[in-house]
Amino acid sequence: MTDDRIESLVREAATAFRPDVATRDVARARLFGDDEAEVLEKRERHRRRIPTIWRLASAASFILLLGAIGAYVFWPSQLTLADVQAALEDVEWVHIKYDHGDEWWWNVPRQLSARKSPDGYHVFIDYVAGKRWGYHAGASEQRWIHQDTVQSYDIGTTAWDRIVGHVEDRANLPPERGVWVEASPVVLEGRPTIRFDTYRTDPLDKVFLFEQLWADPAARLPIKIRQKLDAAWRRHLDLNMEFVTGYYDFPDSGPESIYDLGVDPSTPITEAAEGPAPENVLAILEQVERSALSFPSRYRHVTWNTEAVFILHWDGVVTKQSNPYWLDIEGVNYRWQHYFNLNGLDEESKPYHLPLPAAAGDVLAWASNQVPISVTLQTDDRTFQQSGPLPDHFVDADEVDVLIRHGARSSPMLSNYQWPVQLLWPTTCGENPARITVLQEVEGVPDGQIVLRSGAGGWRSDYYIDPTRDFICVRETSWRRDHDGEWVRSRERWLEDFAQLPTGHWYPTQRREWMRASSERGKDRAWITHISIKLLDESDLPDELFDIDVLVEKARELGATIETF
Amino acid sequence: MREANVADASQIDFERLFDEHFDDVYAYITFRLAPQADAAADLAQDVFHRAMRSDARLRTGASARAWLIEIARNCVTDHLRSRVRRNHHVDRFSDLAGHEGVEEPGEERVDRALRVGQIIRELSDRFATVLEDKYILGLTVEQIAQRRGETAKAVESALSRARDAFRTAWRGIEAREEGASSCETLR
Repeated sequence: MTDDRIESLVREAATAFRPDVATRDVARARLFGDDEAEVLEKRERHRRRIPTIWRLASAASFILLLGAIGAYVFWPSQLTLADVQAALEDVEWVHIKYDHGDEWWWNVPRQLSARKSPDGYHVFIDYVAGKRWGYHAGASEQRWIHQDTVQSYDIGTTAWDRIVGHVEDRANLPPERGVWVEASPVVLEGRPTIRFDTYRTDPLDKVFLFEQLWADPAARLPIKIRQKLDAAWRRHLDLNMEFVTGYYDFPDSGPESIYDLGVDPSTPITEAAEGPAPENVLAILEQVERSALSFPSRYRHVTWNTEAVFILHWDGVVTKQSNPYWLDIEGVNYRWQHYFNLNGLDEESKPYHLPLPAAAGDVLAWASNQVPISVTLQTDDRTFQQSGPLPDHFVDADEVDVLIRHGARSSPMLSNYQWPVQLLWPTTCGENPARITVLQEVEGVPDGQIVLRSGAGGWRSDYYIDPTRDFICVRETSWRRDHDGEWVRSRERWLEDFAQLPTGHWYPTQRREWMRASSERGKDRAWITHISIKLLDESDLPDELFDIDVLVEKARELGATIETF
Repeated sequence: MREANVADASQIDFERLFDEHFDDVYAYITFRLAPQADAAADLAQDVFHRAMRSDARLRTGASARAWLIEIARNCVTDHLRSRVRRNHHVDRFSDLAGHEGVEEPGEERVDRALRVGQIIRELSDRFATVLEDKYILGLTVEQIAQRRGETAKAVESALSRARDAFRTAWRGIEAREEGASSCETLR
């Protein structure tokens, strides 16, 4: 880099951020008492301090802005959200298309909703009929449209409720909720608009711009929305954008079925079982759920195999609340750490290799000298997820990403049966009892075991329940339908070598798994994972274990990239 | 209403001064504060307030722009010292482009400016100041030396070492970003 280049960079940097007209006018007004700009200054000052200014954009503000941006032939004397609401009363179809590919339609008077998601998911919902049709363009199995019932969901009674009402709701929240809305007249692509900015407070107590909604004071309709993209969604779509922008339009017609979203009309529909579950299924599920809810609430769960080690510390009571398909973990603290067990022969892998067989004590001793490659910590009000650093010889080994989010989760963000409750009683985690049946006379099933089958569309699962061991699912077989419509076994899992906790609860010390190759040229995989569960006392869980701020501090020391939404 | 404590004669000059240099002052402050540049507009006004109250310095021979930028530098320093962990502050990093108050300078330019700002903040005060004196205030080596009461040779030496430090820091950031970029590709 030459001296001239440095000069050019520094000069450019010092002049990169030019003020806009309004900022300059406000400064001028404050310094030199320009009368017109004084009003603008007043607007600017209040814009920052007053959380809700819905009835703004007075004639004076607009006239000032008019002066600043040039001549406009027509300008309405006033615009309130009530005006926008009135304009939306007669709107039937609302359509929005975002720049990352997401596309939505709503017909609120008829209670219809449709979406084409950038990840290939298509959905059409008729809330009056209580039906939903879903289709995934990227699914590997045969293409199916999955039809099921949809739980009641308030999408409002007019387009206003659907696309602007949420902004008003936020504006009416008390300040302690950390959400507020500011409104200001701005020029958008050469036309005068009012912009409603929603600010939120992130889990590290920093304020961030969450959403901006532009409305047209002439047509009195929303024009554009800019929303901060949730980090998890951004990663899911592999998007390198922090905000997405969508433009509204109000077409005369919209999709009347999922086929109108571009799904091939020949795609068959599979209908999920509806209505109440059979009595014999409910009786079994009740026993299963009772066992899951009675499982101890404070423990350490360690699992290890030839590739990885996982350590979970759990403290909290699992309950059954409003969701019919999930257990609730509100108020639970848990911390989950994932370590690589590198079993390569090269020298660089050796420091990260856990020799097997190993007892739980050996694993913990080994892990105490390792750095986890990912950490998830959930408390009752925040969730912390860290990925990295990796072992030294990996590419970008020292890269550390952290995501911190508000709020408790309804279920743990743990994969591959890392949560004992999900491992032992998988039907309590997302299964709809209405689609479960009891299979009779299944070949090779030990006496006394019960086999439940659940499924819809192109997949199904069989659960082998052992009533003699706390109704634990000791075997699970997953099936998928291939392109010829035949069912093929895709994955299987067995829980084995059972032991009992001091409380008498059963748990497996080994999980054996098999998975079909994803392609004909690939190889099936089979592996064994060892399991240890130890009940803990409160004194076994130091405060620091569940302290997110401590982890944030450590992550900062590692130079982590920290995202908070 | 005009401010009572500003004389009419000088006010005319200051209005002209404002019109000619406000953008530069604001841009400099935003650059120095970024990514937390929410106070830039207030500080830019403060620069002109200070200038109006010390108009004698305008006759020192320095260019008006350099003089205002120097005041702005002091304002930024004072502000950074006083910004001791506030309850809330707006992270304007994502906000600089497209937010009211700042015209959109283009993503690449923003990135470069933020990167330069980061380097300047991480350099020692002596190196940062000499680079700013030279490239932002537009002073000659002799003028810098005169202001500091140093020899021109000492200033040249400081400037040379400041550039080396700048290069090293720039390469470090580039290396980190390349690492991040290749990781993104792998994902």
